[in-house]
Amino acid sequence: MKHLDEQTLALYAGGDLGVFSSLAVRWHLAGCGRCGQIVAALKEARESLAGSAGLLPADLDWEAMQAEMSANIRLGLAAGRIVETQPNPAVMAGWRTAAALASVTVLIAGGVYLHRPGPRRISRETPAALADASRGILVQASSAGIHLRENGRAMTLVGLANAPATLAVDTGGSARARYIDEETGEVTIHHVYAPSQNE
Amino acid sequence: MSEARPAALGEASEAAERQNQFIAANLRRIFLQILRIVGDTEDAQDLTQEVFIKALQRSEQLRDIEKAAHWLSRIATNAAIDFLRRQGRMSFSALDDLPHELAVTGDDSPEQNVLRAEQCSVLQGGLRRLSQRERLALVLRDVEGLPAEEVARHMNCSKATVRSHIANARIKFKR
Repeated sequence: MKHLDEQTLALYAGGDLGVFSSLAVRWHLAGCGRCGQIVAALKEARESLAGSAGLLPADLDWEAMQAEMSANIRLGLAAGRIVETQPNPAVMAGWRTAAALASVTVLIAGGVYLHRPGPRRISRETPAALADASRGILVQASSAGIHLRENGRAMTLVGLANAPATLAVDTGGSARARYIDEETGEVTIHHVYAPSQNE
Repeated sequence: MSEARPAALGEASEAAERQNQFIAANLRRIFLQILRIVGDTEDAQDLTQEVFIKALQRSEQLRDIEKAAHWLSRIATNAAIDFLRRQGRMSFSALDDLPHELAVTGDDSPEQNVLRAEQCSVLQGGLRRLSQRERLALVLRDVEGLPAEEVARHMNCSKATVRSHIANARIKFKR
């Protein structure tokens, strides 16, 4: 009698053969004691493996380890909850920086404002203009930027898009636009001085 | 407000109790499952903790305890295999260092202890005869009970290769 190869029997013992292959093996086993003994041994080994696998190593103090792991898991979960409820540190840092920068800018701008000839007009989001008709110079501030025109030539210092601007012109011949980035709080000041008569 | 707060505290306490029960019911099983794959007690301890923290952070998964236990097993197997990959060793070599004897509790009779020691000896002796991949295939298929397709997916190889590993492993383990 020709016996089945051991690999086929090993797969059969674990239920890893297809339906038709299993039937063929079963048919063979019905008449072959030698292959039947191999399958029985394979099944026994498989059961002993599964049965022994749940046993703890002898040198392991499971009670202590269980208590330690349980405590660590609870600690990890508690830490996770704390992290979830805390605001994002990066965002916090960004806002703190922005607030500090804004404060410093306000102080500087205040100082500059106090030491310069007083502006005639301060407007927000409305165009402002200073004209020096005798020299054909026009300095104009708008939310789009600061425009300088002289004798038919013109240039524009383009303002920051999507940033609210505070505009100011003064009789000393300058225009100023102050932009605040709403996302970062960063303050940008554009200050354009019209050329003086000596230049 | 004064009624809502005790209610919220009660819910939190109930959730904590559910978590504790879930840990107690599954800790040993998951630890052993991971230990069989990574082979090192300390690594298994760390990974077990990570697995439970990861699982319990998604507390909605705990509603069905039976499904949650199965889901936890899958996370554990994946975590253990990922760990081996990260370590660059798809290996069971550390299993060789596992003690031959079994844990003995005060309730066990001397006969039971002898029997269990023999069982463990069989387990260790059998596993030592296998190659690393044969061990992994055998543990996932015959201990964890994963279907061959899933074992193949975990091991990044074909089902035919896995069947070959499983068959060889069973033959060697039987001897």
